[in-house]
Amino acid sequence: MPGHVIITGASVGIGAALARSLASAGYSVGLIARRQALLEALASDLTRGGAKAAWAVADVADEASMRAAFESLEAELGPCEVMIANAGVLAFQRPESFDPQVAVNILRVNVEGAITAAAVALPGMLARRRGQLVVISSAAALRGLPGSYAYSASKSAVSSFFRSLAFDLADKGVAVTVVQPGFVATDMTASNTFPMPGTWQASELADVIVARVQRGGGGVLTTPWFMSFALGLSRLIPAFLFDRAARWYFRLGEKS
Amino acid sequence: MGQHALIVGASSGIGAALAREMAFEGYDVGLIARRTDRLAEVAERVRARGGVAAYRAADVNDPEQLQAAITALEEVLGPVEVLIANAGIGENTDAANLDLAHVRRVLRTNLEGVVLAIGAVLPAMTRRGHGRIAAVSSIAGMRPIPQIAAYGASKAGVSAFLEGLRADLRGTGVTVTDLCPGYVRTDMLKVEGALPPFTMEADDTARRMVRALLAGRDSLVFPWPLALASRLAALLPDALLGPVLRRLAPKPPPALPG
Ligand SMILES: NC(=O)c1ccc[n+]([C@@H]2O[C@H](COP(=O)([O-])OP(=O)(O)OC[C@H]3O[C@@H](n4cnc5c(N)ncnc54)[C@H](OP(=O)(O)O)[C@@H]3O)[C@@H](O)[C@H]2O)c1
Ligand SMILES: NC(=O)c1ccc[n+]([C@@H]2O[C@H](COP(=O)([O-])OP(=O)(O)OC[C@H]3O[C@@H](n4cnc5c(N)ncnc54)[C@H](OP(=O)(O)O)[C@@H]3O)[C@@H](O)[C@H]2O)c1
Repeated sequence: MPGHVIITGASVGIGAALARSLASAGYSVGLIARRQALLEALASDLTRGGAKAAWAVADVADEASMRAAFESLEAELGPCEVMIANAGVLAFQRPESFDPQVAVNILRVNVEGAITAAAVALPGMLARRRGQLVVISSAAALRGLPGSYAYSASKSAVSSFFRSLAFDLADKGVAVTVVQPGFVATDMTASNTFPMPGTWQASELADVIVARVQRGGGGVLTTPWFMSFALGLSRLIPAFLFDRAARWYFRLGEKS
Repeated sequence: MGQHALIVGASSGIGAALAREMAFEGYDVGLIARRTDRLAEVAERVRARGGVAAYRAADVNDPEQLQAAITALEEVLGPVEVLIANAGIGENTDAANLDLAHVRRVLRTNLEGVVLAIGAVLPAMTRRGHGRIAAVSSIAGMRPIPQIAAYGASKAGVSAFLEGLRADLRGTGVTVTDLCPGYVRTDMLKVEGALPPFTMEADDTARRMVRALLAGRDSLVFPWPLALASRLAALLPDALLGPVLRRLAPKPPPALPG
């Protein structure tokens, strides 16, 4: 029987789509994010549809609030079988006005926040010798990109962390899935001015992730598949050419 | 008077060697780390050879302290022309008992520390239209391997940050160099007995790093046998490499027969 799945960053976007997809697959869903009204609305929507859902407000960058949220969700919906670390933030920066605090915040939420979610869920999973960790990283992990270098750094770091953890947990009953989506149509990308080839809907991505969870999880999942191919091939282009082209591309449509 | 080369994490190992090497190249060196006594020794050695050195104690985990130290050094030595963000700690990650304090220590020192140091000099360098930024990442960041999840993540993050930043700065006169050494004999290598393969000396390592960053190279991944091995390993999927890596990694002692 499908068990309890906790999703961080479940108030909108990919996280909310994951909650809907998991609920219709029969899982109980625990929702975590900062915006309570959105969580409440989503949870009652899912409950009305016949699913089991609960929510708890937390900031993933704050360990104490994450521990409290995790405990209240487990008390309500039972042991957490799958933790999906999805909460994330993005910001574009320019070198001449670079604010390190903006970069640090991206790292705290995207890297420390995802690891905190894993750390609160792991002891129970290890004790039961059964569980799944899923982290929503990004195709931006595959190459440092102009403008969003703090984001690329955060996603490179988080992919690396969880891929390493996957090796260490392989014989302990905990599967680790690292998801690296390309462009997805959500609030995060709504104000991007450059073209976003191969953009997916959040629900499409959620269905692919849920299918992986249902099969027991594990591995690196980059979507669409040509993203990893394209970014891999980009390394064959001389960097001085790629860098200028990328800078031009990501500033397309920008009013300066 | 020479130009100001700032080395963060300059009190021992590679950083101390980088300080001597940059002074030898004619730079006035600004030195930052937590241990004041060790910084004083490094500065003394630079001065003994006719160089100029100044130091301030700061913890890279503390943005205000770090900024204050850099500002103070710029008052003495002028605006930073070369930054080498080298401060780092090496700790293994115990996945079965994931300790968040450990994870934060490693990420905040090795990754946030680099971002904060770069942030302190970047806008001014961009405005001046010249300067050199380098950070000491590691070959360990090129491909996830077991047992060092946090350290590997911090270094993968540094390399990605530098790569994106470089794309934005290409052609502006500010260069960004990613320095990725293999094993170097310093306090960080806590080994008894045999050294790991291709272990290098700090002086030699620093000399090669300085040459690369003063030439404005994009990156230096060395020594070449380890660079080649990790580049190849990076191309292999985790599922294929996992069993091999787990066999290579140190294990707890085997159980007694019977
Ligand atoms: N959209 C894309 O193209 C794309 C591509 C690749 C990867 N991703 C990744 O996918 C994940 C979800 O992104 P999305 O596109 O769905 O973005 P989104 O619509 O902006 O949603 C982000 C979610 O994260 C939550 N969140 C942000 N900061 C948080 C914090 N400190 N504590 C708790 N929750 C926090 C937000 O909830 P509250 O604001 O209510 O807290 C929200 O639910 C992110 O990790 C993102 O990096 C997105
Ligand atoms: N040794 C190797 O095999 C190897 C291989 C690849 C990469 N690296 C990298 O090379 C760099 C230098 O390491 P090393 O081998 O020379 O080791 P080390 O001798 O231990 O030097 C580390 C330096 O970083 C400073 N540091 C550490 N934490 C700091 C903090 N919170 N604030 C300010 N300074 C801090 C230390 O100074 P204080 O303690 O005085 O603060 C010291 O100067 C590190 O980034 C390391 O990851 C080393």
